[in-house]
Amino acid sequence: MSVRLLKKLTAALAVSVTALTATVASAEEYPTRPVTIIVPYGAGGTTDISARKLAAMAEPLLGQPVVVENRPGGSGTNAMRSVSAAKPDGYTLIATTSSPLFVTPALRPVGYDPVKDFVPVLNYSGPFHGVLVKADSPYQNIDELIGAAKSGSALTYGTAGAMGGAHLAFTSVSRETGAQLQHVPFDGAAAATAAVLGGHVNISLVPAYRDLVQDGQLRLLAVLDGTRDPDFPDVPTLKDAGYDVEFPSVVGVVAPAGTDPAIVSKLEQVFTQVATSAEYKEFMAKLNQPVRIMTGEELGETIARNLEVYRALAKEMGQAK
Amino acid sequence: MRGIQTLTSSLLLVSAIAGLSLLESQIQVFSFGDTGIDARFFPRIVLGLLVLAVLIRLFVHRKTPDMPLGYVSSWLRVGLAAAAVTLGLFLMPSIGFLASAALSGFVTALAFGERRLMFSVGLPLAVAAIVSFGAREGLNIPLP
Amino acid sequence: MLVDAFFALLDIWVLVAAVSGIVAGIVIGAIPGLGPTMAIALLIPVTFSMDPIPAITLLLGVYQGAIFGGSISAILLNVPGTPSSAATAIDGYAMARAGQGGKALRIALFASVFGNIFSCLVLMMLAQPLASMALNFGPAEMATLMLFALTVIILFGGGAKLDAAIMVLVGICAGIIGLDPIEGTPRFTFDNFSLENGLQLIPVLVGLFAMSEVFLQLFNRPKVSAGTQEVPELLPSKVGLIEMWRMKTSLFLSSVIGTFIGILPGIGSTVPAFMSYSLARSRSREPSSFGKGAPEGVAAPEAANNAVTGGALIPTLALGIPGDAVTAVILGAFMLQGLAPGPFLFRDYGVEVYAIFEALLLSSIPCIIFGLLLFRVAVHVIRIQPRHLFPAITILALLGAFSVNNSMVDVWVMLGAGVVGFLLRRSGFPLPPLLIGLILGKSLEQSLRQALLTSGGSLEIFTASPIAAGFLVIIALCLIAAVVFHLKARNPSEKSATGDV
Repeated sequence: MSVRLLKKLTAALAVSVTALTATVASAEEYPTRPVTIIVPYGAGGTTDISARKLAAMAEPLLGQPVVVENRPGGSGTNAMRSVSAAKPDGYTLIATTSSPLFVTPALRPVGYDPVKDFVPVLNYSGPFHGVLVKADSPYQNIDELIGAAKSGSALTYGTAGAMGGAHLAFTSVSRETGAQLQHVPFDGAAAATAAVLGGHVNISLVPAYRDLVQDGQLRLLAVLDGTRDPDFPDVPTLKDAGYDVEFPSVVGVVAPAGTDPAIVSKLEQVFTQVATSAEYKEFMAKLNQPVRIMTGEELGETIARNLEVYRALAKEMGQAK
Repeated sequence: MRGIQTLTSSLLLVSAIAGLSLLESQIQVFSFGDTGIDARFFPRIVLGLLVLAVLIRLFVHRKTPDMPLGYVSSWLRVGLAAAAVTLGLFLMPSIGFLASAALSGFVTALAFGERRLMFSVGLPLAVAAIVSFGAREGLNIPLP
Repeated sequence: MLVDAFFALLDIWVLVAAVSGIVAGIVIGAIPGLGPTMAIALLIPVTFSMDPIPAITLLLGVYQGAIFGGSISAILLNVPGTPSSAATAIDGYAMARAGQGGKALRIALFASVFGNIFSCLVLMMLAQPLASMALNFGPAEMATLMLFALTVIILFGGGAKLDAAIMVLVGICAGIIGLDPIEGTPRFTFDNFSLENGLQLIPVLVGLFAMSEVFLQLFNRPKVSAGTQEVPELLPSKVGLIEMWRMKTSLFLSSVIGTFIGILPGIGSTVPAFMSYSLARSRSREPSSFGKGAPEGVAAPEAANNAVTGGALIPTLALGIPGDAVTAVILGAFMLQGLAPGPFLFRDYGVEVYAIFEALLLSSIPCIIFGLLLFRVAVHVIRIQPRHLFPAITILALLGAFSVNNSMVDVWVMLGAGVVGFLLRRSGFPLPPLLIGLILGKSLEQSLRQALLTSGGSLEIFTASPIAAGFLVIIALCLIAAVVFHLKARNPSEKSATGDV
């Protein structure tokens, strides 16, 4: 125990000394010890596995071990809160997703501000969310679907959970068009997919639909993202189809606010190099996950813009507290 | 107090009633245009049923003999161990897993009546050391 | 294809993977709180660079081993290593106290292997049709199934029914804490962010069973300062085939329950284990022996919780829809190996998939060999003095609770659950129904409300679906049967059946 205590003391001492002398030198030498990437979900999920691969491939480029730590809970907000409070020295990063970045914070107090408390590093993935119906359903395209929901019969749609981005996006569609769309939240995207396959709900808004669509069990009517899914280039986005709403799905790395810009740009450069490599793309293809690169700046804009949109949406729905 | 069963049942009753009375303030309901039952519906029913079931139990068992509360020394031993673990948890973020786990183990061993240093101090320390080493190196758990 | 698959298995690395997976799984599973999910997630990075067949064999070996490992500590220490082995602890620990720990472990091992082989055969032969059957279970069907499970556990789980009902309700109430499953608003979190995740199953399990056992032992310890306390002797522990053969119906029914519930998403292996236990008890000629060391009380839950493996893999592999955390992790492992689960898996990778199934079947052999070897060592745990053993269990409990989410809150929850569990056990309340209430409470509420959302608030949805209506009828029949038995038992002796504890 005394060793640990001693370590902590020396660490604290070292920090105060470096803080006093100069912060310039630290960015040059960074990293001098292992870098930790927090994953706000459980080990073994796609976010976790893709972050682990990213970390493993970044190790030789950074010259220091990159450790992945899982801190699941509170649909990602617990980990975000603890990283926002971490020391902004570039040694604690978080690989995070849309929901704790701009969906949940718009809906309820989470204990951190996604814009003010973090510096975005880069975006490297983000699964496309689709509007899916069963293959034998009468709706051939998104307009028919909304049309049917407008003319009387209420349609039910399943999502991966209450108050997710997909839920808010469709609520907005139903408000705009007057379509009767009843939300039914499930415990995870898998359960929502099963529910539409079994005909318990009319529609599901879920990711990871490729094989089931290609097998002819489900029909993809639209994607919620801002861009089309490269696997299904003929399927429109909601925006293309004339509904002014999108749910951009991001998976990116962010650091606590106050991290030295030189360190952030070094990290951005290293991770971008990894994420654009053929090896990483091949790995992600196996996981059925796209590689979608955005610079830190673009990611920051996406977060800020969508946070505003979702806040407004939530306020409109009487959710904001 | 008649005995430990009555005590535990009463505690359950009090907690359930407390839950019911806090229900309104602890569960906010937003009207969201959804049909169906709201977030308070299910908790209210379940807590109500619990109150009812415990009341029935207290009534049914009003005459059956209860289990004795037990000796003060027994409660003291349990209290000592529980207090030690509580203290260990309070200290864990600052002194680390190894030290606080060894402390909890040490006091538990004392409460069990182990007086030989080798077993009361050495054994918990050894177990805590193995556990924290194994967890950190083998299982990749970031212990405090 | 089956033959091709078999030849694909003739590789030394497959054997190495199976053996090391099983041994690692048994060891990790035996530590309270560390379960299959964690063991598998831990080994996934190791399999990054391996070939698909050994990689998946390793992970499934870990899964099997961990589920079985959980029952070792349940039987020997009354501390279930995994939630699903809580049912095994009831009679297993009673047997161990009577010096039959070795026998209980052997029964558990053979029953596990039976359940595993059964569900694996079902998986190989009926994956596609059963996967589509699982899709028929929507919210209404799931809600009635869960009500049925709760009814079975209250009525036939043994002990006083009123106490069991109270415990189920306590469990359900504990499950309310956290975010509302439909609206996503916090409930009983007292504005504390850490509570939004609710009371997690594993910390509560570790507290209720492991920590409370420490307190209970402290409470019951006669006041002696040192010296040797009595430890049960180890009796010879042979289990004849004849003895296992006598339990064949129990083993079979438990395996069916395990496989079937495993196919359905989100229920896990704890509930079928307790349902099988309750069923075996109600079918037994001497139900009073249950809870006091009945071999069938060990065999039934073990067969069921291992049969869940094959069942849970059915929707995972055939549809790409995992039912729980463990299968979600296995799904990820399959994808990493390029074997994307889903409708195309069997068509595109038939040889690999059947090789994996066969490996799962054949791994029963190393499982038995290494299981028996480990017992020789493990069974001596029971001879360790309590004052040396329980401090160590306290430390393991701290680790187990922390490791779930790497969060201190869970350790506090564990301690709280330990104190509550101690009080409840001291007062003679049964803990298993509490565990089941906690597991099913949230899902039950969610399914009920989902069903009402899809039906627009109409209760007809529960009677319109034949499956849901069928479960409601069975629940009604069970209740009637229980009341009839209760009155029958009451008349001659004038003794209230709810009265005895």
